Amino acid sequence: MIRPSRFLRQISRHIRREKRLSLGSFLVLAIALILIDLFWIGSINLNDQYQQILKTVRMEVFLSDSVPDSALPVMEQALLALADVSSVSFTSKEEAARILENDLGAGILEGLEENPLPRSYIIFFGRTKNLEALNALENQLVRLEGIEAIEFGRPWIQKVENIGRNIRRIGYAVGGLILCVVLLTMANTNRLTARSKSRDFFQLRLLGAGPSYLIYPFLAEGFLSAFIAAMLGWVLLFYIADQVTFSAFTIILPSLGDTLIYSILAGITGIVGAWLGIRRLLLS
Amino acid sequence: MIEFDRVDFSYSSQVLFSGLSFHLHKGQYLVLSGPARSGKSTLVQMIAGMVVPEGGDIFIDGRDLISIIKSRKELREMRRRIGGVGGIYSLLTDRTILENVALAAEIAGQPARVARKNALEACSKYRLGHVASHFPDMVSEVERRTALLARAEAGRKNLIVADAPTAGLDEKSAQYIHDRLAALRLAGVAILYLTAGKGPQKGPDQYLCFREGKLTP
Repeated sequence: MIRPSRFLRQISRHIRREKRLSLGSFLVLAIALILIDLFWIGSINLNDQYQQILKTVRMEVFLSDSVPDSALPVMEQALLALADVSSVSFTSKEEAARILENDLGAGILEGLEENPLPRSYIIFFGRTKNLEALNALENQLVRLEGIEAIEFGRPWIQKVENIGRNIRRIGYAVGGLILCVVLLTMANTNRLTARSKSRDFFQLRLLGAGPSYLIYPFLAEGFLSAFIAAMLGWVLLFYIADQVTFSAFTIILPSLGDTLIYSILAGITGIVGAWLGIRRLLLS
Repeated sequence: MIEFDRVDFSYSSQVLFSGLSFHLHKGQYLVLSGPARSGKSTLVQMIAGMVVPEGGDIFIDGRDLISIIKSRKELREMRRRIGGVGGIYSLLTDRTILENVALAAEIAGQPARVARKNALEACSKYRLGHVASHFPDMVSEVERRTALLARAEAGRKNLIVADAPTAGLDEKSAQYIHDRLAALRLAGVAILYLTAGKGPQKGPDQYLCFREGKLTP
């Protein structure tokens, strides 16, 4: 079994002998991986914005006039008992009229025999709820007696969710394409290297060399190139994020643990690319 | 050690071997001579397990070549016992002479330190010390071929296949290669020498010639 020190010697020997090829493929890899990093950062920050928006979501429950005032405490308890509801705020008919007049001008209800505005409860949530959860809660609420209408800004939540979903889809597609670029880059680099070394490969096989001499150094180089390219990309992005500040928002970056896992996964992609590059030569 | 028993082989409708037989014993020095396209290199490729015969049998150390080729591990182990100079055997271009000499021993599983020490000794013995740190394209042809012999010795090979090892060398250099082969033979290494000419004058135990797909004395 070949030792790691020999792997490193073989890799450094290859880089020394094939400086331009190694540097070129390393730069292409680094750029491709930085593009994935940027999409990831974009996704994290978009998701955060979405969560911030969801945090502001309130649900307003309008009561029927048939509900007597004496039943309101029971209604309030029923609302508080619902999952993730942190508090409720009651708005009487008079208060609703006052708010309407504040918003649209005094005297807007003049001439009417009685105040047509319904009583309502505003529900505040302890945890953010997405559209699906809000729909489910709405279905629960409509079953309660005395509730006339429910309002929670469904159209704009739907719009935000759609935007997020489309961005994610684009992200997956672009990420997939970039992953293909990484694989092809590794495969092509290794194929070129393997072709240039095919004579040496032949000699190694004549001497009885096994996979440890023929395959593993390529795979190790594939892993190290992609891993180091990924790590360098993160170092660069962390540095830029540290230097650049936006007054409107703060850029959220992945945790160091996540970037390490990502770099290891990039390295594994590098192994796959290296294998794709040399397998035909080895099987021939 | 090597036995060809009525081996048949043709290449592009040209019959190369027709019932070709010979036997190379342990420690024997055998010269096979024949003109160009007589099948010398094909024979070397068969011994290396790269080409299989169309008929007959080949035995390497008593094992049938076909069954050796079927197992990758056995094929590797067989190849590790064979050293070569000339023909299909050459040095790795991206390694120094010392690294090349150490290579066979490394592949055979010797620890790197031991392989390097043996390679240094072999380089010194074969007068390659002054070019040990050079790459193959920086040294002379005779030094490259000598390095292949040094590699075989450092790798403790028990068979050396020399395919026209002195082709293109001047008389003095050719004699030096012949002397080294004779010395290896004295150390108990079997040598199969293939040539289009006469081969070494002193040292070999037997001379055979390719004639009409067979080997004759």
